Amino acid sequence: MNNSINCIIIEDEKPAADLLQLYISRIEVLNLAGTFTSGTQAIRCLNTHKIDLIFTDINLPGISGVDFIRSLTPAPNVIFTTAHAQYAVDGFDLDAVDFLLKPIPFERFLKAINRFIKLDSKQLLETNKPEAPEKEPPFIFVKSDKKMVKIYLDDILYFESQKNYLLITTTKEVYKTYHSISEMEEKLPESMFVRIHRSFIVSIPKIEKFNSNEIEINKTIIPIGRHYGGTTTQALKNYQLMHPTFHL
Amino acid sequence: MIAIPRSRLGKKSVYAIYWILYVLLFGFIQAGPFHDYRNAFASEIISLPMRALFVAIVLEVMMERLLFRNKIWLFILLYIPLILLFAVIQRWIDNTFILEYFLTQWQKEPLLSISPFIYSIIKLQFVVTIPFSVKLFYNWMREQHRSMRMAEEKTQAELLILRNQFHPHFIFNVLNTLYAKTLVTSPESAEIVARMSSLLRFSIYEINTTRIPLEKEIKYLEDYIALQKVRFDHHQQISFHIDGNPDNKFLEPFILMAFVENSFKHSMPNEYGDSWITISISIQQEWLTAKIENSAVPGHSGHQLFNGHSGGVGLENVKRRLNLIYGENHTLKISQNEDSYFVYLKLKLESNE
Repeated sequence: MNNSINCIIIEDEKPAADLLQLYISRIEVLNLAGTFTSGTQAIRCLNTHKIDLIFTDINLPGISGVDFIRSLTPAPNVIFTTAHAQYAVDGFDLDAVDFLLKPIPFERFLKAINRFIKLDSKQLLETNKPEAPEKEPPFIFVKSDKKMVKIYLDDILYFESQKNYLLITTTKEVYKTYHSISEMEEKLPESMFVRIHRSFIVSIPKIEKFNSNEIEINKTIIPIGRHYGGTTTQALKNYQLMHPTFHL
Repeated sequence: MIAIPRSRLGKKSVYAIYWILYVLLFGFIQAGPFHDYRNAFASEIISLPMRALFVAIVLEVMMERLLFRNKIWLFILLYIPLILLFAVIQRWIDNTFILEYFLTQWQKEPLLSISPFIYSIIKLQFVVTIPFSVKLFYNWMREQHRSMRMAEEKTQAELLILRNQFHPHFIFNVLNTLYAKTLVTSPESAEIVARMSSLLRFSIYEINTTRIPLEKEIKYLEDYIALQKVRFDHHQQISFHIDGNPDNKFLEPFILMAFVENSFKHSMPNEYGDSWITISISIQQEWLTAKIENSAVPGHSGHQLFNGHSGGVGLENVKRRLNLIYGENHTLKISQNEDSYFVYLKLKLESNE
């Protein structure tokens, strides 16, 4: 009981109130003490109960949500919900916990609750997304064997330029295309791939070993070109900054 | 609404007609019972340039500069000596030319002799009264018209403001209702509603801002891509890759969006085979690099690059904005071959100190 957060909803539109009720019911620590359609209706409840958090719409019949909250002493913890982005400024003037724009997705609601809990220095809620849609990993399309083939970036080990074609070595197979290596370099995400030689582009996350002269990928030793040493080191550093788990 | 009677005659013609009528009228009146037309007209015509000058000074200089600018007392103060001065000139012309050569039967009197002097003043006053009244009336009509126009424009502007205030609020409340109603029964529909709302908000509220957080722009790109995916039932193959930290970085809105939109516009699913779009955005320190490539439709190549009817104007507009806002701080390369269309954009992000 001590840990639960007593909250009320002030909202004049029923579906909007229903949505908040649904979200509140999904979060165990939240305890809904009442739902009201205007500030004046909520006053009695506020006087008789200890309310930790108020969800209020801004555009309400009679007194606005902002004015209502302003009239309360001491200032309560409030999360504003509104359809109107321009009210946001007003809301933050009042030291609102958060400001939710309608329609409110559950993840956003959860974020607001966590923001409140952080203020209250309690244990944060797990952001367990209901169903995280599995995202297709990034890929590129290249022309190989007179047709366009899809290659996942994560599968690529390195690119090697031959006389008048380019070999793409992936974990699965080797593709031959007629793109120039410079053209390919331009199209690849620069945080993930680096040109280390006139004839080689490598996937940074696939690098297994590295010294100033060469790198090793998938048991293959690839030399670092005389003019590419600086850019290679820099690219590896940048990658490490962005992906702290990456070590060489 | 009062329309100004727009005389097709110019100001000069109006003056000319006035003076011709004036000379005719007074010529005939003064010719009198003896039908002395020659002398009557001669005396009117001789006095004409002086009178015309007087009227011109009063109407074009004093009315315009003083009366219409609310300097009424100054106008009156200058008008009195002016009309006295011209009465003197009239008297001098009378004595020197008219009574000398034409109306010789009349007796000359001293220049400032009271009764002919007063007669001259009255005549000058008469000459100026009609044009004065007409001009005053015309000016009053013009002011009326202008104030009405201004009031009308003000109402228009207010209406526009009202419209902008009312609509978004209403629309987002309705969308919220729709979201609430579909969340349990059809979560997929609810997601579409949420993304649609987010995009709509972007286009309504961010259109007037000059910089938005990169995080937001990326969120809108994601919303847009997700909506396009459901629209075409995932027939397009879309790769969206972001690397780097967008926190606390800002950029001009709608630039990335414009290129992404363009890529979708030109790689709609078609009967020729795969349709795909690859988007990669990387943020390294203050630099953002966006690489956007889309499949080209064989036979339609060239359409996207050279301003076709669709998208061309938008793309030109984006290029102009890039040059204007980022100048040296950006690189834009667009290339096309028969398989694909590729946009390379690198620009310097702003950050909050």
